[in-house]
Amino acid sequence: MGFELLQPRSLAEALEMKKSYGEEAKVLAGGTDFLVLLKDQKLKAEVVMSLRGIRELNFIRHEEGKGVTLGALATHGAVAASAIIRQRFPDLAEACAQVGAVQVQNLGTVGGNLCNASPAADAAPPLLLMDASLILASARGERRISIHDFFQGPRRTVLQADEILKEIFIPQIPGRRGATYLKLGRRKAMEIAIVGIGVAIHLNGSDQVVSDCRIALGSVAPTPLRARHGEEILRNQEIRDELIEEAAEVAAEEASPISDVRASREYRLDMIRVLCRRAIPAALASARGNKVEGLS
Amino acid sequence: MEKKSRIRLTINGKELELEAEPNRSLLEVLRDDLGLTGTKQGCDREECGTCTVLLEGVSALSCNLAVGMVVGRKVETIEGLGQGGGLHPLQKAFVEKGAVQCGFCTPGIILETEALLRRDPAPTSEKITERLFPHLCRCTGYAKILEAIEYGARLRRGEPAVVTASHQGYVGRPRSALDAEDKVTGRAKFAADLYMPDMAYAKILRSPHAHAIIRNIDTSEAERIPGVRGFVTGRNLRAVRLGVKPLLRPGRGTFQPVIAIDRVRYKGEPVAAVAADTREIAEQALAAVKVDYEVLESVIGVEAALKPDAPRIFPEGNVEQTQTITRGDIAKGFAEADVVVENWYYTPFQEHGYIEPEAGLAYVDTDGRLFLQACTQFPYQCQQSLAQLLGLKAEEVRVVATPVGGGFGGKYVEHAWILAALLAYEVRSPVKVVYTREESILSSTKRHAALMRFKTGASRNGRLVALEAELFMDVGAYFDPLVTRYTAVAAQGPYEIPNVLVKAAQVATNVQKSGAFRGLGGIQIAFAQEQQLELIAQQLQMDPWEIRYLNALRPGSVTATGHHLEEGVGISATLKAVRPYYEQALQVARAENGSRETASTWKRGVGLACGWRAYGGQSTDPTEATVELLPDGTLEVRSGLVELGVGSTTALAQMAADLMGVRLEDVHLIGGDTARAPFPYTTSGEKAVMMIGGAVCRALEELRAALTSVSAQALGCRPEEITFKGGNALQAGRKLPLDRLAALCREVGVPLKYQGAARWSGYRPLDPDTGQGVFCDLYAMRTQVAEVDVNTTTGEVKVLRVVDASDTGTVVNPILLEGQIHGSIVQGLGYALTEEFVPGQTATLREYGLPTVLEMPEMVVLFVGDKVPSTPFGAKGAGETAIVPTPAAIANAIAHATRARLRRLPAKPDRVLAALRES
Repeated sequence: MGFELLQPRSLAEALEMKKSYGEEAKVLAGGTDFLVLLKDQKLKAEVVMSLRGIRELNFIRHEEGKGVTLGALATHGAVAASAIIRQRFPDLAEACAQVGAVQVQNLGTVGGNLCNASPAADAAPPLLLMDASLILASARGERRISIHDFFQGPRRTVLQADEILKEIFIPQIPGRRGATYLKLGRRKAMEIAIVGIGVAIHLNGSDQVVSDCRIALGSVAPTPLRARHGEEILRNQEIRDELIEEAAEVAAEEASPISDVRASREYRLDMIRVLCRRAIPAALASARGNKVEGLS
Repeated sequence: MEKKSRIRLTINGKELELEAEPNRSLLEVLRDDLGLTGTKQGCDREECGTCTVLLEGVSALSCNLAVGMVVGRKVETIEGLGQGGGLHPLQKAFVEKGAVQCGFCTPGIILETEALLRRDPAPTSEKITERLFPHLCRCTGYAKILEAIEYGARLRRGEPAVVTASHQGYVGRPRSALDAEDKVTGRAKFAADLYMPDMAYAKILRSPHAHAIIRNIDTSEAERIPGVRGFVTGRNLRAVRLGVKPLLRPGRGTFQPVIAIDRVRYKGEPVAAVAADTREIAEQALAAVKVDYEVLESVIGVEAALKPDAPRIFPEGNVEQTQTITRGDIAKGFAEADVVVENWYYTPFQEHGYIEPEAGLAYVDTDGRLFLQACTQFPYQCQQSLAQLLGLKAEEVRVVATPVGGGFGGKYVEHAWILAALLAYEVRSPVKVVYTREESILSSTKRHAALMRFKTGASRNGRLVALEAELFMDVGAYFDPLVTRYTAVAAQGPYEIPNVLVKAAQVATNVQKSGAFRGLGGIQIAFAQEQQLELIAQQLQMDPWEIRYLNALRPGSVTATGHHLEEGVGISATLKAVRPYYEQALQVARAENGSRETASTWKRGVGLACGWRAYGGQSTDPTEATVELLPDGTLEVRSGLVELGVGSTTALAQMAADLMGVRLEDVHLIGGDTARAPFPYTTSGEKAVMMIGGAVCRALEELRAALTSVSAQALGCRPEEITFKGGNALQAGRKLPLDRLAALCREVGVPLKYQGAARWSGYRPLDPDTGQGVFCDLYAMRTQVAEVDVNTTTGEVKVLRVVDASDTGTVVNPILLEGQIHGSIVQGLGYALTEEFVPGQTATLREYGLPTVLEMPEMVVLFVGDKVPSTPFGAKGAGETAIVPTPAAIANAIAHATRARLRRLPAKPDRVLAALRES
């Protein structure tokens, strides 16, 4: 029942520990969710490694011309409050502000949210829109993988037994970007999203022609995903109502939601359409409002 | 074996080092190891907020935080607030503003607010709401909490307190609840907060099947596990106590065994209970019990149970017609009707959702007496059941009600503490039980789901002429016909209808038992009947308000049961009271819908609904209480009243203080203790003020008479000249303090202790076939207006405002009654929009969907109605029935906004959307 607690003080120490314990050691960043997972037997832990003491992982760093990096210990609360994130990646800030309860935002980290690999992870859709990459570290070295390749299924990721998620890198995106994250829950933020949708619109020069459109969906498939066919309909187009309608229809076809106590499959599909119809114009308006080229 | 670590942390400013397994939750360590029980356990899965503590000054949920993760960090709990210098400003504000009802969620909310105010001393109300929403409160409806937070923030910034002028007398004045201070400081001991040396923990093994025969239960292997102290199963209970009916709930239906004997009838039914040294050993022991089941076909849902070929739960069938009410000539009534509307309606199971899970602690005391402390609304029935189960005399069992962390009808005689007490008697050591949230949801009673057919006829001028109703009440796995009487009586609504035929049946299904819940029977009826009225009004092109006012019961009306109503018939007064609000809301809605673009997805609607219900406790049995003038001149009142957090004890003290002319703090209430206040009473059905209050008033009249004559003699005056005020007997400027008067009485041999009784004097049991009789002397009545916004693309419904007017007569304590009404309205709102217990599926609070502060509407509470001549101070209970019309008013408002008629609750977005597409 009990477990051994490892409290490394540096990343190097943590990686050594992870090397020797491997799969056996569960990594905790914020430490929310953990006891519930144990209780529900979704997780077994003999050894637990807390990253809390590793100061070098607690940061949000912006490098002009490159992008923004979130350390593994950056909490939802810190990301939602960060000026740079709010300014350049409002969709990520909105998503982090909608994660669970305020107490969970205080302690829970974006990195932990991704590693749990819940289909409903709020931070995932915006990061999918941004083509974020994840730096996975081990005693063997580091590797960088795209967030698109990170999730393998509910609670399953590509993390190896000796690896730790070290950083999340959000690359600078050229052109003018507008984005929004909308979540529909039965009881607002307490509810795990019935459906969560992120939409980003990129403009390059023209206010009329969309140079890129990205749509990401949460809670409607085994992993968060991009609705690439829906995106295709709007890319390099002048946005018209019929196109939004079509993109919404196609995006819904890319999802495979389930029915449960919270909502039926049909309702979730309906809501993907409804939220797309809302989010696309909102993202477009926000992109048009972004007068500075290359801001994000 | 557990791996313990030395853990260093700072708690409330003190550095501590303790030995603990690092995976234990901070909550458990705070409560079990450090005795800091002000931090409460509500769900253990980050869903209710009640375990909130401050970690380095920010709020954190201690239930899900491994203590290993807080090593070296600073933790603050409720016990750390206001240390030394009395109450913290927030605590003071919560007490004064009536923000504390059951008090179970209070410490967590106060800490959350404190964390906010440290960063932002003057937060906007949006900010406060945002911080508050993860905290579930089932009692207050959040309104008074928000008020308290804003006031507390002002106090905390050093702004002066608002001092209200002191008044003569207490009845009719807002007073803080007497127990509020204990609750805001975390000092109040709820049942789960009790610990004893050598205490064992009880855990219950539950059936994984909805319906099965138990072929064998083998506990032998489990009994060999070190640390296991003993088991109770249906087998050893029956063998050891032969001839004792192991009943849990009495009724004319089927007795439910306290633990399954040879058959289980619902998933979650207790099969074995164990007492062991620790919770973990108890869990291990349960895992080692072998139960051999023969699984049977089960039936879930009324519709399924009504089918002729449905599997039978009892040999006599699943359906029992238990109450019919007939009046007039139903065929003639419909023949005369110009409009007839007929529909089916369905309302689901509702979970009580109290934030305190079921808990109790029992032991056998040195006199061999079984002593149980538990969060029960009905300690007297617990005593009786235990005595019967164990073959003891009633006085050999003592049951004391602890503060109840929300009851609402759900905490009567529950398996949790009855089994703990049986185990304590068996193993002869203290045994404590605390349900997990999942257990509580799985096994506790629920509001009866109901399937109802209503056929209503009216004449061209809007007069109701006929009602035929068929009511099928889902009672769960064991018959209990009580609810069918409440629903049958309520079926006509608070309206005159000359021709009535109501048939109410109880239907058994393979789910947990249904039971009492606020507004028992009335809420389902209002959902159906109030929509029927609306549909009739539509067909006749009548105003919804007019049709209700035209048909409303009045003094002199005769109900379908033949009850001639004389007093306390205030339904028209409540309709009149809401009328200006209703008309204004309609105007606003028209303007809103007009000004919004036609493409807008939000539509505004306004709905009206009335509600009524008989008060609880039908019988002519008296409710008793005693009063005694103590030697120090203070007053002791003993009754069966249990404080559920709704303020009844405060109201009772206010009445007693006024009658005896003493200060509120000089009234000592003793209640809910079978040994010290042996007056059987169930605290339910909003009758406390009328029944307990009545008994206390009678007893006080006798005490006053005795004191009057002794003081008149002492002061040498006529008895008529004596009055009681300020703790004295007064006569023309002369005064005799009550302590001296008490001494005088003893000298002359005049008793100082008196007993009083109150009863429903008009009660005549209903004839089961005709329904004629008097179900209750009085009925609670009210009207509500709901204003909603409906999103026509997502089906979301926002309730913006609810106006409630209740027929209360005298209001003993406006602030506490208002708070109770807020709570009832928000419970009704939850039932209308989000709450649904789906057997076999709903397992957690999150899945269930209790309303949060974000769902809270603006609430306007109006008290109307004349004093009732026959009740103490002319007061009527009015708190719990505020739930009755709310779902109906919301459903009518949704229909007004969109034409979508909801005939099935809850109005979840997908159902609203489906109804919209049909309309």
